[in-house]
Amino acid sequence: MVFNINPRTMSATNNINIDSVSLFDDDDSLNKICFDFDDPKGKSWCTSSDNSSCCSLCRLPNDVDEDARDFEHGDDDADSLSDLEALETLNDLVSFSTSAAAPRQAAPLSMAQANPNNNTFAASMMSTSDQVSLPLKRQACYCSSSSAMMMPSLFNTCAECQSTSPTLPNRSTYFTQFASKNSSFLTRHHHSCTQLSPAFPPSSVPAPPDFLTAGFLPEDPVYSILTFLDVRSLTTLRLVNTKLRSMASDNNAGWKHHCAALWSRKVRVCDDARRLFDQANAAEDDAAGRRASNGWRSSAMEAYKTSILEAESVNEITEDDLCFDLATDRSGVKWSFRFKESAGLDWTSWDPWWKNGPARKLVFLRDGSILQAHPPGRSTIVTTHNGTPLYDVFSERLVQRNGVDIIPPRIEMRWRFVESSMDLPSRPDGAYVRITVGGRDVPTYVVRRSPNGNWGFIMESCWGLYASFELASREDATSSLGVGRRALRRTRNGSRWVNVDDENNVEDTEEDNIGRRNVRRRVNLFVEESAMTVTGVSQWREALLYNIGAVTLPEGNHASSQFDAAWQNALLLR
Amino acid sequence: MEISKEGDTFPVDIEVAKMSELVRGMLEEDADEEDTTEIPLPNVKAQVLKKVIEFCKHHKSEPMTEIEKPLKSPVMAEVVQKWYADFVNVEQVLLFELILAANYMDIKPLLDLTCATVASMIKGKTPEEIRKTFNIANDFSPEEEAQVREENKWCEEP
Repeated sequence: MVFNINPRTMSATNNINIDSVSLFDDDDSLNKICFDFDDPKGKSWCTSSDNSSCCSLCRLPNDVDEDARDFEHGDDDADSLSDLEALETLNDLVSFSTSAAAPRQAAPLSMAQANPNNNTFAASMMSTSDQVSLPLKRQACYCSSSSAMMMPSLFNTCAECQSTSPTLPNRSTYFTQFASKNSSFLTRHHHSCTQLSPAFPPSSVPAPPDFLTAGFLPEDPVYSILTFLDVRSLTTLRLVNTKLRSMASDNNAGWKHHCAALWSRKVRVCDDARRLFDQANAAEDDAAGRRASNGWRSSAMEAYKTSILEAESVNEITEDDLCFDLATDRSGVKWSFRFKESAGLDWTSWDPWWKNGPARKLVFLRDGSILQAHPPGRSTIVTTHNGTPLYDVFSERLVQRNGVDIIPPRIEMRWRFVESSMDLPSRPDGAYVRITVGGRDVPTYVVRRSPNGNWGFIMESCWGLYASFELASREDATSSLGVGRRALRRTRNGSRWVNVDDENNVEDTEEDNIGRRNVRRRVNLFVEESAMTVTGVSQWREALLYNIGAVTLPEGNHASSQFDAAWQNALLLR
Repeated sequence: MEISKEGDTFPVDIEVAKMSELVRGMLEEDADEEDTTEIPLPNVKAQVLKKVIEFCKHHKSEPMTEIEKPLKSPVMAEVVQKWYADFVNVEQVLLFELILAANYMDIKPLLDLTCATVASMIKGKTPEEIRKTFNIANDFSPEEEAQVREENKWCEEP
């Protein structure tokens, strides 16, 4: 064994115990210094006596540069580089060279290249027998022999290029022996070595080559890797480099599945997002459309992004969002309706939701009328739309006259958008809906996105609540008591309720096999009482006007100020 | 028998070998030949092939549970059985060689396991940490990087 440096020989002060380190046991072995590059860890010394065959990189040393044999002995004081540092850099380099599969055609490196900043120190050590070459740009620019630093100043500063080199341990004898066999090691001082050296990682653990993006893997396995990532990781990957930006944006990175998984938990996804998603599906069969102008097929990612941005930013509805009789072959939304407790018993006592049944379903038609889809009315069917019979609102109620059940009198309900509410600030079109019941305006319904995050809409007044989705029944909505918050879970075989609080513990017995497994389809259908924002206090003007018999509530931007003026006058009159 | 790139021969039970769709196809083509069939796998190094066979053998006795997508944890032991988590606790070069081999030999469970392992090394890391982990060079200009950050704003924490 020639070069026996073992971390265990280091003292507690992290310095190599130099007495226990045998650098050069004999002259013959100097030429056989090499590392065993076939060792998987790449850090063990080659112990073969035949350095031409012991490992894949062993070979005979190069001819020694005759011009470089002249050197002097220096003093023994230099000790500027810690032994530990030298050892670490040595190990760094060995591992790096092994993993990077450095070219085997080696060129000797000078000791003056040994720079603690670029870790070439170890390269210099190894180059004594030309075992290692590093991917350096070689330039025929060396310090002359005279200006090359001699022992030990050799390891301090080059007089010509002023580059600082590490200093070896205080063992001039070793250096002498070493240098006598390796003159090029000592005299060839590479100028500007820090610029020409490869960028070694600063850590002691060698960095492997870039297996992920440098073409080591074909595209398909890389996409397979990406499909295991969540959305946040994919978007983070887009910031790593241009290749990952492209691949992590591609439909094949799993974006379609992310869309499916996300949207399965939502009651409404905007049309723009669905259109982009359809494009992503179409692109698979359309070779011409495989790459967008930005270089990747990102419409599924765009669909995902669009749906989220829309849900975050849009709090108003359009007529298409509101109405049931769309100008298409499909039907629109059936709105669930229930009274709030603040409406009073007169109203809640005959509300199906308050009787623990499914909430009343009302539909808004484009002609301004509102009809009832559930429960079935006792009156005749007013109309049927796409197979759905529609009744007059509240026509299921029992009405008796002289002790005899009669068909309840018709109550007409109509709707219209209004620009503003008397009590609430101005908002964009589609934010306020005024409903007329039996010819009288009721307090304005305020439109917003459902607070439970299911991307549905709700319309709320101080007395009533509409939801664009199936409201959880009151029996299930006992969250205020702290028990049994439940959500409707969609499955292929219908729907069933699961406890929201136990959601993480619910075993998935139904797997969604459309495209992928593990898609949990749960939709939160609760609208917590605590999430309500419109109350009799915040809507007191309209509530007051209704209660005193107003038929039509004022509209427009000045309605509130006009009301306040009239109210002040009324107070003064009292 | 499977023969590696270096010519090393690895005797394998036929049922184990058939976990590879590539090998399965070869065996079906050679169905009329003698019982012992040599399957040349010139793209797979001996060291890697040895690991592949180790995986396939173990998979026969303890099938790997399907790895959930997306990964629920960056810790492989939390998404797959311990043996498999230990199996892929190898240096990057071998891990990526295994991906190549699994892809070439068409062994889906191994491909899933190795790809999920790489994904677990990405999950939860910052771009700089990912670059460092995989030694990836940042080739963005400052303007491009700013643009991607702008594009990513939609998914940032509020």
